[in-house]
Amino acid sequence: MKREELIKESKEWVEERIISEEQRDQLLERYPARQHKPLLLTFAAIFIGLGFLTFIASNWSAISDVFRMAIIVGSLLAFYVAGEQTYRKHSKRLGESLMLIALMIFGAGIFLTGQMYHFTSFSALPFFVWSIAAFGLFLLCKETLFFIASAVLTTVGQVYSGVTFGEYHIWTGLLFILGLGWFTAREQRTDYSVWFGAGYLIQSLVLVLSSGYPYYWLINLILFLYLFDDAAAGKGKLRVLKTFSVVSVFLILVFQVFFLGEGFVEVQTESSFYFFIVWAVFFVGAVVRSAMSSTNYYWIDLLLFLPLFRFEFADALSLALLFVYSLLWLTSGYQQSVARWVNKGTAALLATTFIAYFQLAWDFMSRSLFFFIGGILLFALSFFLERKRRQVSKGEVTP
Amino acid sequence: MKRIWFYVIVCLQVLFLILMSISYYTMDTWGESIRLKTAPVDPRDPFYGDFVTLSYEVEMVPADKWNVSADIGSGEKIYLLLEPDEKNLYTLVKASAEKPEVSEEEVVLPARLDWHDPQRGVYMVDIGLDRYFIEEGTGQQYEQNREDLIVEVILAPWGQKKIDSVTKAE
Repeated sequence: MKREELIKESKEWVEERIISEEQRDQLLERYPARQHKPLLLTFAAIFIGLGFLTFIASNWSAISDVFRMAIIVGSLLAFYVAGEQTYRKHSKRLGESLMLIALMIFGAGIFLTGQMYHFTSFSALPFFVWSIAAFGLFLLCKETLFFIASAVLTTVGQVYSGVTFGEYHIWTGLLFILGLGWFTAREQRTDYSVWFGAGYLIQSLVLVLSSGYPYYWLINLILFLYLFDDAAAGKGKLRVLKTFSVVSVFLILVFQVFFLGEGFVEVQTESSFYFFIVWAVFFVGAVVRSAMSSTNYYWIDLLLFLPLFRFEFADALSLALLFVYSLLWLTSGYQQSVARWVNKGTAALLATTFIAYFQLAWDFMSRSLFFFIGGILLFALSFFLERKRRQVSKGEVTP
Repeated sequence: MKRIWFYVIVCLQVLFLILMSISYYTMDTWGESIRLKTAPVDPRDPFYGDFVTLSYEVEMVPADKWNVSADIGSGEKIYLLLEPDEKNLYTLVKASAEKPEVSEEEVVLPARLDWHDPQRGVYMVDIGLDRYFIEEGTGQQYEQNREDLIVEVILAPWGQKKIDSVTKAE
């Protein structure tokens, strides 16, 4: 019942002595006046803001440097103060949005000031300063929004550093790993893990590509993420980082299948000694961890981290490993009736079959025949696997 | 959320931007001014909207002035030692991997190795002053004789540098 109706009706009830005035008030309290969201006002504010922004943008070159600085600093302060007031007194959501806008103004301000005063940057320092501001805000209010902002800014800064200067910005990396990593491990929240994991993988790629390390160092970095998951995932939570790392190392094996063939002569062995030391430490840690685990099947994931690139037929071995991996998950899934494992094995097997087919048949088959047979093969395989999978999820297969 | 710390963070951000601005203005007072001659620019069209692309004679280091070990990679930092000639234009003395000692007249300019051209026997380096921002529509006056410009550069003691002016050579 609508509040307005109730007000009218209940007035009559009181007059007819069905309820007392107090009871009427109590009833009305149950239907609080709905807060009208100031939709039009919001749009009005956005429009005025956009008008202001486009006016400044189109006249930017005509404005003197000092006045430009005043605009940047003024709007920065205005949004921060308004954001803080709103956050404390009215709405947290709106307040943090305003503060996020202020943070964006700060970043834009760094680059605009740099352009105005002809600064040349030799590193990702602007992004580092920007990330520190974002991380500072996160430390103060512990809002997820600023965690995301810090993760995105450090990662974008790192990519910028890699692309523009061909180097990994060590301070940004430390801020990401120590700062955001610490909170990912401490808070054990799924959303933190997702942003941390994505940022970690992208930054690892920048580190390996720009510092001239051989690609296989990625295996160690991903293995570290795999181990880190134990710290970062709470009991019963999604194993986000574990999933991320398994998927990425799977992709590395796919890469090996395609690129470690005969044509790949140059195997960089200079730093592989250090690689193996680091790898051995991590891998032993992972094996011990999986031995302590309550399920005895997690060692299957660890197979993917084996450094096959040192062997002669690394491409064939990688492919074989992918098959073994998929089949192991499939069979243990069937045996233990765990639908999740069966799904995992199914996806892995389909991907692997396709890769193997691509690798083996692409060269000596006509293109149309290749796709035609490949399609039928995948269709048959998925039909068979899907039927098995449904049996497992319905619990028809008994262990 | 502690209000004091919030405003500390906000003030630090404002301070950072203002310092960026102030350091630029104080360079004129504290910095040292040197004049450099430009070199022909590659690619051909140096105009990119609101800035001119510049290249300098000192950025081409001939092999006999290159005192850096051969295993240096592209993008690594080197130091150019410059001294003024009779027309008060700064020319290259040598390039080295470590910061050299400077005598009275000389200045040191940090740079990065771009690429090595073994055929011409030169090392191309970048001193990070290849963009001169101009007002829109004024590019024409730099278009002619752009390999013959004199660029006045101000070097601040804290490592910052800027282009003060670009003029035609006399």
